[in-house]
Amino acid sequence: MASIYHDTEIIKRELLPFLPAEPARLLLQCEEDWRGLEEIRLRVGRPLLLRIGERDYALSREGGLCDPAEGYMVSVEDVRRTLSAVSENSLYAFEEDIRRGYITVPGGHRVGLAGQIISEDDVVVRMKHFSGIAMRVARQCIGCADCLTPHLFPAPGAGPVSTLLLSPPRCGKTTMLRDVTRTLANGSSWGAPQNVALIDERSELAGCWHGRPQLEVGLRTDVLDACPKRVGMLMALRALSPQVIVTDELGREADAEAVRDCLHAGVTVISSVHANGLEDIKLRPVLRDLLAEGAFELVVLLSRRHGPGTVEAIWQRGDDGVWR
Amino acid sequence: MAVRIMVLVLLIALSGTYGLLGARRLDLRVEELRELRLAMKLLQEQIHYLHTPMPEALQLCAGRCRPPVQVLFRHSALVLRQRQGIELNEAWLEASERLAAASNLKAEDIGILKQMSGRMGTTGITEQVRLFEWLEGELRRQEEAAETERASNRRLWSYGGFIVGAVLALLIL
Repeated sequence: MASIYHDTEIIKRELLPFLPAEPARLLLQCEEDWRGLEEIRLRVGRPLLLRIGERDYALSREGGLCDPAEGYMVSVEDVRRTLSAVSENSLYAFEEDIRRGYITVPGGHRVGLAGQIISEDDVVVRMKHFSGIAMRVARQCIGCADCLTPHLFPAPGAGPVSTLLLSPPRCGKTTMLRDVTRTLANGSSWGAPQNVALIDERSELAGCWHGRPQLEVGLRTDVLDACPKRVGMLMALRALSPQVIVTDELGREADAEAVRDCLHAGVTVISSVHANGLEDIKLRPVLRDLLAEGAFELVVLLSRRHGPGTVEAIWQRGDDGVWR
Repeated sequence: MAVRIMVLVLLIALSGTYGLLGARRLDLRVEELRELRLAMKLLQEQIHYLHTPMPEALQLCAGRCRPPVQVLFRHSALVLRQRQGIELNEAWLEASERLAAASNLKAEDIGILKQMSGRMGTTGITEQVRLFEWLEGELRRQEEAAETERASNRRLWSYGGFIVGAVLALLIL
């Protein structure tokens, strides 16, 4: 992926202040290893792990990285203090976020939570006895969608086509979707700027904090943060007059219904799905029906073969309904 | 003789001033408890209705109340905003100590504030509202007790200082 600019300064400024003093000090000692840092994981009674590329590393007490078995062990207090910091010492203000399992912090980084769940009728009511925290570094990669832009505008002068991004987890779907959003909203040599409505159900695409996008999503993008996809797509249709609606991870029948409503209203939909390829999609009734109906004209498969965001395949739907 | 008279007058004046200050402290404690209760009410509203995070809510309360009560909110907001790994209960305890030093509140008043420190911000809205309702009840009780103490002891302090000074002067004579 081009121009990853999540460097040590951003981690130092935006994530380090949330860690308790001792792990923060140890982490600072291996600053030169932060490039490519994807996750910081704290699990009570287990080593603090850094996910860098394809490997996990622990923090040595002497400074630097080491094997997980010899690393700094996370205490109950470490988890409690980190949680207090990310929730601004105000769990009441993040009840909804905690029910969803994560809190977004300034910079758009997502802090996932593990602990004891209290549920009623299959609905999470609250979480307590927090035992694990996963700080996921929000990466934006400006320009990573440039290779897709010509395919999004196949006809000169026309708007972008509805597109579905496929990939297994951790292959850069969200990053790519974000950059597609930015490109469409800013305009490019391939197409005029579009009014984009971004339905960010999991606060991952725009990384909103207090409702404001922390990541680059373009000049003409309205974000409905933490909004359920179906509700958000319909709200955007009614209120924001978008030309394009972007949303992450379609899957439920209700999402498909909302996509159909958008397409009937003449709005382009760009979305993503967890899948290994077109064959996978065809095994899932909701998505198979959408494809068969011609809801999407372009399908893009991503992988990690040459790093997250590698474009493996691009299929275009022909007039005969066949994907090529 | 003149020096002796001057010393005696000074003694009466000092003793009287001490008494007047004691009486003033009784007045101020009532005022400060009232100010504290109203500020806590504001904090509760920020939490209950607006779900405002603590650093922001505390800062807002600091802007709406007068010294010395202001120090409680201003200091805890400042510590939390610095993000140095200090939790709210620690910041609150530290700020309570500062309030104790700067105000006329008694140890038992400050004790109530310290008692709630561990639960502030650590639960959901319903529990937070309950906590603040409990606090309001406690502060109201303290305010009533302070009012009663003022009514019964104010005159004693106001005149007592001069009387004690005069008695001491007579004994010295």
